[in-house]
Amino acid sequence: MLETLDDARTSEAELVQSARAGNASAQGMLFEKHRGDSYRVAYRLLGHEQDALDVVQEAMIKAFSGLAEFDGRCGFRTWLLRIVTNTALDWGRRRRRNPTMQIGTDVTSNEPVVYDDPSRSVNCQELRSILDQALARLSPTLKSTFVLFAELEMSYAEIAEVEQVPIGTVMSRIHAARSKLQSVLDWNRLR
Amino acid sequence: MRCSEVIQELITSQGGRDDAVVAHLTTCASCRRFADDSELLDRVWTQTRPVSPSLDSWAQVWDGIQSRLASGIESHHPTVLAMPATHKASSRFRRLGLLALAQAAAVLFVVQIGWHFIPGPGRDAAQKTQLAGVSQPRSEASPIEIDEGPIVVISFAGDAREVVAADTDSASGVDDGFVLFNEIESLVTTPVVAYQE
Repeated sequence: MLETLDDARTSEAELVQSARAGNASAQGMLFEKHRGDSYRVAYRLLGHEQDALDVVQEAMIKAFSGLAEFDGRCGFRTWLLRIVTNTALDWGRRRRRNPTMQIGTDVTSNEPVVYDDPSRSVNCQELRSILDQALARLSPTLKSTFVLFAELEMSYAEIAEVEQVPIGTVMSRIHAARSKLQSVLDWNRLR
Repeated sequence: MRCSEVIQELITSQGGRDDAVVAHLTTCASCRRFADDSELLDRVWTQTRPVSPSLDSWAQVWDGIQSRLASGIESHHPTVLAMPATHKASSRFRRLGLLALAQAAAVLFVVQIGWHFIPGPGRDAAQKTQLAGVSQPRSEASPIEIDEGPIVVISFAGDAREVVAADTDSASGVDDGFVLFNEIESLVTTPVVAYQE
C-alpha cells in the first residue's frame, strides 16, 4: 500500500488538502515524507527507539485528526514537528511518572557501532548513554531547541517557527544548551 | 575578537569557522579547549545518530495510525499543538519576576550572612543550644566574591556555596536574562538564590 504512494510531483499543499479530506493515500505520503525527521527528533528527546516510534504514531494521529486546525501559515513539516516535539516532551514527563513505560524492545539493530578510532573502547551505546545523561540535565525547552538544531540541522528561523519564539530566543537556548551540555558531559569517558 | 564573541561564534555556527575565530584559537588556550570540547560533542552527536527503524516497524506504525483514524479514536491525551508563545510583554514580566526574585534572595542572603557572622546575645545562646551534642562546630563558608552589577546565581550544596551563573554581557542577539533563567531552571535539584550586588 505504501509502495504505491510515490507521486513525488504532488505538492505538499495538495497533499495536505487531500489528507484533510480523509484521503488515506495523501496521509500515507505525508507520513512517509516526514516520519524520518519526526522519529529522529522523538528519539533524541526520549533516547528510546520504541518510545520514539510510539510518539511518531501519536503525533501523526494528532496531526491528521487535527488538520482542520492547520491554517497553512507555516509549512506542514513545521507544524508536524511542533506536534512531535510537544508529544515527545509530554511522553517523557509521563514516563518519568510511570517508569514501567521504559520496558520495551528496541526495533532497530542493537549491534554496537564502534567508535571511529579503534583505540577507543567506548561503543555507540555507551556514547548514547553518556549523551542521554547529559541531555537529561537540560530543561525541556533547551533540549527540544538543541535537538532541532543539532539533529535536523534546522536554521534559527525554522526553529523559531516550530517553537513559536523569536530568533533571539532560539539563539539563547542553543547557547545555553550547548554550554550546559559541555559542562556536564563526562569527558573522561569520551576522550 | 573577545573570548565571549568567539565562544558565541563556536556555539551558534552551523558551518566553517571565521578567520578571526581561527586566529583567536591559536592564541587562547581556554577558547581552544572549549572548541575542542565542542568538536568532540559534535562527533559524539554524529556517532549516536539514531538508526532508522525497519520497514516492518514503519508498516506497524502506519497500520496503527490508520486503524486509530478509521475508528475515530484520536489521541488519548490532550493535543497541545503549540508551545506557549513568548511575547515581549511576557519577557518583560519574566525580567521583573527575576528582579523581584533576586531582591527577595538578596534579603534572605543578607539575613543568612547576618545570622552566621554577626554576634548577638539571643543567637549565641541559640547556637550553643543547637550545637549541643555536636562534637565539631559547623565550619563557616568562605565569603563569595561578587561583581557589582550582574545578577548571579549562587548554589548551596551542603555547606558549600558557589556562584554557578551570572547575567554577564555576551555577544549580540543573545538574551542574557533568558540564559540565566534557563540556568536556574536546570538547577532544579540544587537550592539556589539569585542575587545582585
